[in-house]
Amino acid sequence: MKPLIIKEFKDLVRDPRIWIPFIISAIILPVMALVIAYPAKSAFYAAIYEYIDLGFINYDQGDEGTKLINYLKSLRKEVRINLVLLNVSHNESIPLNDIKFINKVLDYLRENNLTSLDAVLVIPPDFTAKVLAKQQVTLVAINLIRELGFFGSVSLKGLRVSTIINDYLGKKYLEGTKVALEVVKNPVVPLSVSYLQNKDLVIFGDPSTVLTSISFTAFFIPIIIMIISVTVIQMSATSMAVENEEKTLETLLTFPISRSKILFSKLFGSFLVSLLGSSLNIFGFLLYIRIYSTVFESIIPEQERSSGFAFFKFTTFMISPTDLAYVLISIVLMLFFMASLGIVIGALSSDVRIASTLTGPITMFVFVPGYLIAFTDINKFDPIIKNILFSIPITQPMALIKTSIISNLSPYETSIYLVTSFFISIVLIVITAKIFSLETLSRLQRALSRLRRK
Amino acid sequence: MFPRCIEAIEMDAVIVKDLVKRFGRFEALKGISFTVEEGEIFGLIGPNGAGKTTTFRIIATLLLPTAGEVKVLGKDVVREAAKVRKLISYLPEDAGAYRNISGYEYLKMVAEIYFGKSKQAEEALELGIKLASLGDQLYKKMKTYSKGMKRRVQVARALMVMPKVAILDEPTVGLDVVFANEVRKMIKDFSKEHGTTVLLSSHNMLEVEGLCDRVALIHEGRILIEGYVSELIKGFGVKNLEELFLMLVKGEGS
Repeated sequence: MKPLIIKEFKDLVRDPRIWIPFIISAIILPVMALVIAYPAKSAFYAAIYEYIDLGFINYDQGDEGTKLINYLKSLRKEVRINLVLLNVSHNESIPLNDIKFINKVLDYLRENNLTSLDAVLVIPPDFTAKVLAKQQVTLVAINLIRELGFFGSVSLKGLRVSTIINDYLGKKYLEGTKVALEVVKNPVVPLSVSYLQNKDLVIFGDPSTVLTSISFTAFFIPIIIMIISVTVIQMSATSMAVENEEKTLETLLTFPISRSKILFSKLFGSFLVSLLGSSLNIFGFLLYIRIYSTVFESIIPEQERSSGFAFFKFTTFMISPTDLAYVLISIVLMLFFMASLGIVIGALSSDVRIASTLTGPITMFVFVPGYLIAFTDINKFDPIIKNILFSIPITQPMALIKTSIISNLSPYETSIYLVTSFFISIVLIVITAKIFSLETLSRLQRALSRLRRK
Repeated sequence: MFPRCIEAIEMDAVIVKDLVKRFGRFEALKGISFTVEEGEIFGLIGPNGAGKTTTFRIIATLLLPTAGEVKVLGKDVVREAAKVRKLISYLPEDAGAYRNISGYEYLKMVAEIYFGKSKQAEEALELGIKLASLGDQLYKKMKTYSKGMKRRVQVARALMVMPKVAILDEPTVGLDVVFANEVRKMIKDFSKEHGTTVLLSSHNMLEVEGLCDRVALIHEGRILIEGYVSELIKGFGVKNLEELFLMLVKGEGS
């Protein structure tokens, strides 16, 4: 069997057509990260550090409007605002959010070459009256959008201004009381502690953080496994179908070696190559995540980094090293199953084209149960079904991951599950070896051509 | 015990008896019988589609007979397929090559499949290299080979493992005159030197005259005639096998 495995490995590894897609995906993912991360970074940078050019129109009949403008002027350097006072005449019968008024403002900006402003803020006539009555005031903001990016810097800049005005008025309204603005804004400070019952583990933080980490895992891990699975199944199906297409199979089948050994050596040889190739894929993916998070970490102050960036660390913290090992073994076993499936498909296809037509839908079909596990509570199934879900290769990794996050995996049961998963793949190949012969193939092909004629 | 002893002494290399093969409604073999004696070069001769490849595939354990019996050195090709595979080597008509493997690596792999990592495997490999006689080209990837070079590697592969019976389906197909002649010589010399039984097929009735000891002419799934080449030509008073074949086909038609 060894010489056949070596042959298989060499034949695949030396084929440049096999490496090109792997290398491309290893390069393209980091490039994608750069393409997304840099515009995002500059948008955030602009929102935080760039000056805002703000036009002001003051219709206030009292002096509160002027006070606000002076306040903003005094903060000019700190919050980086350039203020420009605009003199637009206004007929009081037209409301400030009417299109006629807006157009008038825009005409004014054009006439005075002020179209480079980021926004125009309009202080209404009743501003002072409302401030004195400690009521909510209406400020009309006209945002001038010049470019449309996914990460809009204009609205983020606007947010900076509105926060300042909010705080300014909030403080004003609280003058004379002993209440601090912060208290009114956030009367409750949550100090949340989560307790994982099954693990007897206390986590400081909101349960939503835990849940985010789980849903992250639930969503991304299947996608990563799916990408690799597609590679694995394609590789093994192709390598098997090529024997048929290139007319090497006939010779192979007359060698003094059993059918199952022929299939197993194809399986091991192609699986090894597809794992090597997939490692390039994974490398690209890790680089993608790394670049993306580095770019953001460099602009966002440490204490403000969202929990999103801590996902990865958090997840590994949640799963113990032993459980992680179980999960990894389970993932490899699932890939092994996909490779076996590929061998079966390839063995029954007369050429590569048929094999690749078949692998696509089968891969999709195989993934449905995986997603089902990701989004349902496994513990609600009855014990027999639960055991089956933990044993079959396509649902096992997800089931183990979910369980290992909230509790510890039992070494005894998990080992049985893993062994069962392995044997399912082996049995699949052994059964295929039983029906795998030129006789079966030619019968299948006749059936196919009969179908085609119909 | 007694009959088995006799079998061992006067064993025929290949016995094909009343062999029928149907593919769906199509009957490819309509009950053919012939016997190949040990050590001889036997040719199954007939036009394309006569049933040569189907017959060979059944003998090589690739297809199952619909009816009839085939034995290789006393072993049944259906019930004792694994044993038969140890005795034979089979060269398919359109045998392909692994693109990214060198001819040398291919021969080495086959030698190791047959004999493991042993002295015998090394000897087989050495013989294969000699038979292929491709020089340095043998160490290049097979995708760079011409059709003739691939065929040489395949013939070398089939013979180097010293099979009791070598089944060669159209060994010279697609080769030019020089290459074809070399391959024929290689087969003949090898059989003489090692006493290997060779069962080969050809649609070229002239090329086998000098190569085969005995032939069977096959047409539309039936054997027309079987015998020693020289006797057949003399007996029917024809110039060559082609003339004999045409005569027999006409005779059958009327």
